[in-house]
Amino acid sequence: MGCDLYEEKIMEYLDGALDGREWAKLEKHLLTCARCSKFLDDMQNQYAMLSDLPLLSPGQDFTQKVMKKIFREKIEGKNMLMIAIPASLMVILVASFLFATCDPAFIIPVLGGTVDWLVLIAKSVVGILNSALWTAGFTLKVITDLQPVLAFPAMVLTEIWMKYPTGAFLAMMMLAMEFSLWVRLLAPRKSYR
Amino acid sequence: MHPQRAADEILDEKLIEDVLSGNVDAFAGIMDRYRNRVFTLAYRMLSSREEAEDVSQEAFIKIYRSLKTYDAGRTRFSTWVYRITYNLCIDFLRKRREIAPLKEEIMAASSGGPEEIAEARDSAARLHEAVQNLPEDYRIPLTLFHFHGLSYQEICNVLNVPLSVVKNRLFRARKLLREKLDGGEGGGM
Repeated sequence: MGCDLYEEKIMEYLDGALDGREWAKLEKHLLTCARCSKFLDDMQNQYAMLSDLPLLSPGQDFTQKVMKKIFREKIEGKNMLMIAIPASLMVILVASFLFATCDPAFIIPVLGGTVDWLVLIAKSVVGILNSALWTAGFTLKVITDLQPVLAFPAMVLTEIWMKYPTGAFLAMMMLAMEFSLWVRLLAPRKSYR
Repeated sequence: MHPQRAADEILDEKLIEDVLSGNVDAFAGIMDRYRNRVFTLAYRMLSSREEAEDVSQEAFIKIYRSLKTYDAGRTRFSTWVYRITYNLCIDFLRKRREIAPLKEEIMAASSGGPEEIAEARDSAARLHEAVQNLPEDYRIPLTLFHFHGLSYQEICNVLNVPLSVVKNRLFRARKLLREKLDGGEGGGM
C-alpha cells in the first residue's frame, strides 16, 4: 500500500472510522514512515484547529424576525377560518344593531314618541337575516380563493344582499369591523417566550 | 450513542412535540439551538452574511412548515435541519449563478470575512479564510463534519451522494487545506 492510501487511513483513523485490524497495519507503517508520521501530526493539528473555530452567529434580532413571520403564517394559514367565523358572527351582531337603530323608518317613530315594538323586532330580525346573508356571502368569497366550486353560491348570496337598500351603510360598518379585527389578529406579538 | 448526543435528541424531540401540539413559542427554543449551526452552514456555502441570514430565515420557516413531516425514526433532527438548509443554499446558488455568474468569483476573491475574523487569532482567521476558499464540493462536507459533527453517513444523507464520494471529498478537502495553510505559513502547520 502506498503512502497516499495510508494518508486516507490516517484520516479515517482520526474520524473514528478505522477498524482494529486496519489500525494495526497503519500503526506498523507509521513506525517506519516519517512522511506519514508527519502527515498524522499535521492532520491532528488541523482537526484541533478546525474544532476550535467557533460557529458564526446571525444578527441579534434573527430569532425575533423569524418568529414574527411564523406567527403571521400561523394566522394566515390553517387558522384563517377559525378567526373568520367568530369575527363574522361579531359583524352580524353589530350590523343588526346598526340596522335596527339607523334605519330612518325606525328612528322617526322613536323621535315622535311612539315606539312600535313589533316594528322594532321585525326590523331587527330582518337586520339579522340581512347581515347574515351578507356575511355568508363574504365568508364564502373568502373560501372561494381555495375552492372555486363555491364561487356560484357566493355570487348568489351577494346578489341577494345587494337588493337591500340599507346595505351600503351596513357594508361600510361591517368592513370596518372586519378590518379592525383582522388588523388586531395579524399584528405581531410583542413577546414569544 | 454519545450521552450528550442522546440528551440533545431528547430535547429536540420534546421541543418538536411542543410545537406540533400548538405551542408555537417552543419553536423559538428550536431556533436558539440551531440558529448558529444553520447560519454557519449557510455562510460557508454562500460566503455572504446578508445572503446567509436570508437563507437561514427561509430555512427556519421551511423547518416550521414541514415539522409534521419529520420522522425521528428515519433521521436525526440535526441532519434533517442541515439537509433543508443545504437544499435551500443550493437553490440560492443556482439562482445567483443565473443572475450574476461572476458575482461569486468576485466575492470569493475579495472576501474580507465576517466580524468574527477580526476578533479571532491570526491562525484562526487564516484557517477560516482557507476553509472559505476551498471549492464548494470540498468545503461543505468539511463544514458538516468538523463544525457540525455529522458522521460520514449523515453527510451522505444531507448531500444525497454516496459514501465513497463523501469520504473522497473530505480527504481531498483536508489535504487541500493542509497545502493552503502550509503555503501561507511557508512551513508546516
